[in-house]
Amino acid sequence: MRLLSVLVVVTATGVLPSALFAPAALAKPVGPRLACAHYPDAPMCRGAVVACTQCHTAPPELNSYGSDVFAALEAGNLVYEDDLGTALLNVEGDDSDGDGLTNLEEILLGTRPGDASSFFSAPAPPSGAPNPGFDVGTYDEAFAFRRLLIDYCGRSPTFEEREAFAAAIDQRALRHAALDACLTSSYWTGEGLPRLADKRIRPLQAINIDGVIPLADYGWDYRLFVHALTGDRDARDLLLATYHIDAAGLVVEGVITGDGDDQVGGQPALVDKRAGMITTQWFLMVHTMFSELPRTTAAQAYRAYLGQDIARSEGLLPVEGEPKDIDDKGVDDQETCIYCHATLDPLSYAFAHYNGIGDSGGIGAYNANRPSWQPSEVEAVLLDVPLGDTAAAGVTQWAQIAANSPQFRQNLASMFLTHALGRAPLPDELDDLQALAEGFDDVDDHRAVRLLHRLIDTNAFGVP
Amino acid sequence: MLVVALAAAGCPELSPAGDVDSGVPDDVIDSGVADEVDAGPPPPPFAISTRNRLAWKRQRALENDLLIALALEKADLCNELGLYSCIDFVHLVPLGGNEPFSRSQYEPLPSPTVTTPIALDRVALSACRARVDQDVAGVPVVFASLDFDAAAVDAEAAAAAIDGLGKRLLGRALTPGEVEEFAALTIDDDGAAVSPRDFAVLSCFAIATMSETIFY
Ligand code: HEC
Ligand code: HEC
Repeated sequence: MRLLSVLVVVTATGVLPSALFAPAALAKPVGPRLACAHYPDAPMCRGAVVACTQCHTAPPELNSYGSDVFAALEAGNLVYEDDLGTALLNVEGDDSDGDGLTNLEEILLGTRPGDASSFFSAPAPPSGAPNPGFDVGTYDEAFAFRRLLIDYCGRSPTFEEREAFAAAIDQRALRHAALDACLTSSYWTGEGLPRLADKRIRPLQAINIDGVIPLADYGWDYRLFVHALTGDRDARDLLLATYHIDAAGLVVEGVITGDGDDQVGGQPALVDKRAGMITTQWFLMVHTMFSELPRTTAAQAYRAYLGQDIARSEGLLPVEGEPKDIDDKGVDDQETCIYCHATLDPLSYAFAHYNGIGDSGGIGAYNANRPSWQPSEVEAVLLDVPLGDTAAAGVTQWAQIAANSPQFRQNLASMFLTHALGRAPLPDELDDLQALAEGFDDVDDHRAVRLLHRLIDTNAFGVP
Repeated sequence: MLVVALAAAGCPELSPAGDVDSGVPDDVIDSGVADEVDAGPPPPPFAISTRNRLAWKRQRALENDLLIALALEKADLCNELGLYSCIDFVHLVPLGGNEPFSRSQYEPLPSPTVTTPIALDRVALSACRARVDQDVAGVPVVFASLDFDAAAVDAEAAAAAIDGLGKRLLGRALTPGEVEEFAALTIDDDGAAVSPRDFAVLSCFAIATMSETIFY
């Protein structure tokens, strides 16, 4: 099977701003973009651009697959920037890492063609007399029932519940009713979801000890996270909420005053400059700190809500003319730094208009004049989309683009499926993942609860 | 090992876990032909899962399941110095949890570690002991069939206790073969009768630590 023999140019967002297509200066770091233009439907390119590690151990070192691609370029007298697609095509039938799967098979499966420890072969169908305990190899209602109670209620079904389930005429309906109950349980709202938030919020007790809050209160962050992902609510509020949730669980609009000049424990960002989880006082305090250009803040927003970890060379969509190194940190070093910072710096400009620690107006407050550069000196870009006047708009446009991107829904579906399975989905489960992600807008109307109802019906979830 | 765990759920033998682990890293599924690697237990006489994909039941579900099964309060479970909950603190990480606030652990371990079984044993034993103590001291909840003043446990009382434990701890009726295996706990290695109290703790512990209780 041949995936694509013509080079089709699509970008991660589906739009094609050709001006952003990097020229020779960024020659090599455009590898991910070119590879995904060649394999737009491959798992590695779903809601993402492939990481540099597809072809490199660590750039510029090539792995076995990258070496074969390089050899194919040389052999065909091909130019990387123009002909990478041809080179990729020419090595499709090889097994570069010698793990028994051809490069094309690995690309279609979603394993890494340059890594012998990454391979997959689908399990054989079970054979033999019927298993007395499980419907092995097909969707098993009772297995799924137990799994969903453990995942979303934090407990197993009792003997009586299992008996009642076994006797039920409409087990599927019972299963979905059980899920509804679990998703409002104190386990899910008080522990299940907060544990999914941990790595996104990154709390530190040293800065929030026993109710004494020297700098910011991450309680607001946990409450908003849980709120947006429960009930009949739009999960995009993770990035779009202009409100907060107080300790009593009530929606609070408007600026929330904190203590002292720093507004500690409050939410000083103006309502029209708010963008859910990524403009809370905690988020801005702990990530921006003293940075004039808050790269860490942008990188964490990109990682936590779009699933792209730049530190692991994911989501690299370099912007022409970047990085400008506007704050003189030396990130424009051609050899080493630009391949991440040509993506990261344009992602970060919008966050420069919010206070970190020590700026006047309060921690996390919007502050149009904060950076020392003129707004016209830089152009903020996210997922190939220019963000316009960030000095006036803050990160609200960033959040709009992000919340409506394929990356956002892929990240959400992946977060929930990984949690439900207790591990990352395997190659034969990636179609389930893709269906979950793609249905998030239209089928689920952006409701996490609806996504979870679809999730528990997948084979990935229910086939023992 | 997960193949065995799944198979065990309907299997008359108490299969030891851990024999079929092919040593392939967790994120890579093996081809399903590794069964010949060592002798292991004989394959069960029915179809078993070829997917090998059970999940680890983590600390909160483990705790809730023990509390519900044995009708206990959280404070009854193992607590170091009476202060630090084994589940929330002392053994949190090996039991599959993470502590983001004071220890900056933002993600739990992906899979059990060498200390997971030790932690599980400790928590399960504390739960079983607490239940037995309470049943001895007051109106019995789980071990009503046992006469704690007797010198030994008779077969019928043992079978009733085992049946009840299976339903409470595993949520299912044990197979006759399993009941028989556990009933052997009424006699010690030297053939002497085990006291009803010790039998209660042992049988509870044996069932509460089956691989089925931490994989799902
Ligand atoms: C589709 C495979 C592929 C991907 C993905 C890829 N590269 Fe490469 N890369 C290559 C090949 C092949 C070469 C060698 C080409 C050459 O030297 O003409 C190379 C060469 C390089 C070099 C050395 C340049 C030189 O002139 O010696 C650097 C640096 C580099 N890549 C960085 C990256 C970075 C950073 C990423 C991720 C953003 C990346 N590459 C992604 C295939 C890839
Ligand atoms: C693999 C991608 C990558 C490369 C290569 C890279 N960076 Fe970064 N850099 C990041 C990320 C991501 C962050 C944001 C912090 C985080 O999330 O880890 C960052 C942040 C920074 C910051 C801001 C730190 C702060 O505390 O505000 C500076 C300065 C920086 N990088 C300089 C450089 C320089 C200089 C080079 C070249 C020597 C370089 N980086 C190469 C990914 C990269």
